[in-house]
Amino acid sequence: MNDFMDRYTDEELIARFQQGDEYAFEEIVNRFKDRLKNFVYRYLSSEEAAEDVVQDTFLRVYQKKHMYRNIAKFSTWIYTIAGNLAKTELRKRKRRKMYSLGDLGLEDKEYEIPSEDFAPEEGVEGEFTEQEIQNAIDQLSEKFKTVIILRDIQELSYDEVSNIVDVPVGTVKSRINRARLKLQEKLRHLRSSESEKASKS
Amino acid sequence: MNCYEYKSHLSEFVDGDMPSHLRKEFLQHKSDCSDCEKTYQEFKKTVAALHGLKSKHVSPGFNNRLFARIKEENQANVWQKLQHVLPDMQIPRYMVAAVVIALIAVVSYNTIGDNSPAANQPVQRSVVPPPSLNIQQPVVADNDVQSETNVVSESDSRDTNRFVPPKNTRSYEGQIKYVNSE
Repeated sequence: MNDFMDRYTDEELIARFQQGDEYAFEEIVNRFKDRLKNFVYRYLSSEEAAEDVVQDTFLRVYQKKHMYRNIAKFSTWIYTIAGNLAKTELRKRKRRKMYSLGDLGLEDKEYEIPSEDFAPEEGVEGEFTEQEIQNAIDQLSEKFKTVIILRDIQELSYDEVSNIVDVPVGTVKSRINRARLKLQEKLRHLRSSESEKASKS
Repeated sequence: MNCYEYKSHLSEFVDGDMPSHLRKEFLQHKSDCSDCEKTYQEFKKTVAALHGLKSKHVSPGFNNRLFARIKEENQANVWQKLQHVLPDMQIPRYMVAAVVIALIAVVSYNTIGDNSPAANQPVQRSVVPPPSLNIQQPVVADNDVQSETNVVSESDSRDTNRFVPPKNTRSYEGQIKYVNSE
């Protein structure tokens, strides 16, 4: 009997859940599960790991519902939980798949984790494939990756991104600009190395 | 405006957030510097590519798996709480010992009491009124109903037969209504 739940705002839903309404929690799950999956997937490059993290996020919300205070938006709170869990998972995976920095020759001490989920595709001339973009995102540092996913993929406002990552809006704007430039550079690098391989073959 | 400053404002221009006082300078540099014009074109494609990424969705059965997990976690939490209260098998033994000591104390008290001088005085028996007349029963008002665990103080939690007024609570005087039971 939760057809009427869609009329409530996110903040009203969590308030109802705090009062014991489990249908409100179900509605929260339905509203956020795909968004969070998208966010965490772009962070981890793994469907399975992303779903586990999203499940952990909802479990945290269920167990710690009393910790939400209606000072910030509910979406800020749940994205923060998901982001922290995603970072923890990423660090665990990096420790398991450690590469030498010297061998990679990357700037900014970034680790490379190959994407698990899709086979290589040929890119349309002049455009980037999803795999190329995801590989480039994977090579960004944590702080750049987070803001670019939240702003450009999740399409959150600068204010929301600022609240989630807990830095001023001005810093968020600057960081997003640098992240996009970095991503552009990596995509150019990927494209040029693929062209070299193609010309050699 | 130099190339470095130009690049630092690319997002503002692409997102349509550029302040008007910067726009003229930015456009001037863009038209003057071919490298920066190329950078702008690539930058625009990069942002468009990010916006064009396909959204991911959870797999079928996600909700069922989640709620099953929540149920499991709740059951595990209850068991953890029980284990916290009774961490090992020694506590029940102590409880048994405490109950035995309490029983010995009660029996001893009754035995000593029977042998005291006061106990040897002839007992003046009062007339016990019939049960139907003037028996006063304490009735606690509804809004003062408390659980048994609240009424019994922590130190006496093992002896549930003895009423101990709760600490730091209001006195029941004035709250209890004496009525005739008929």
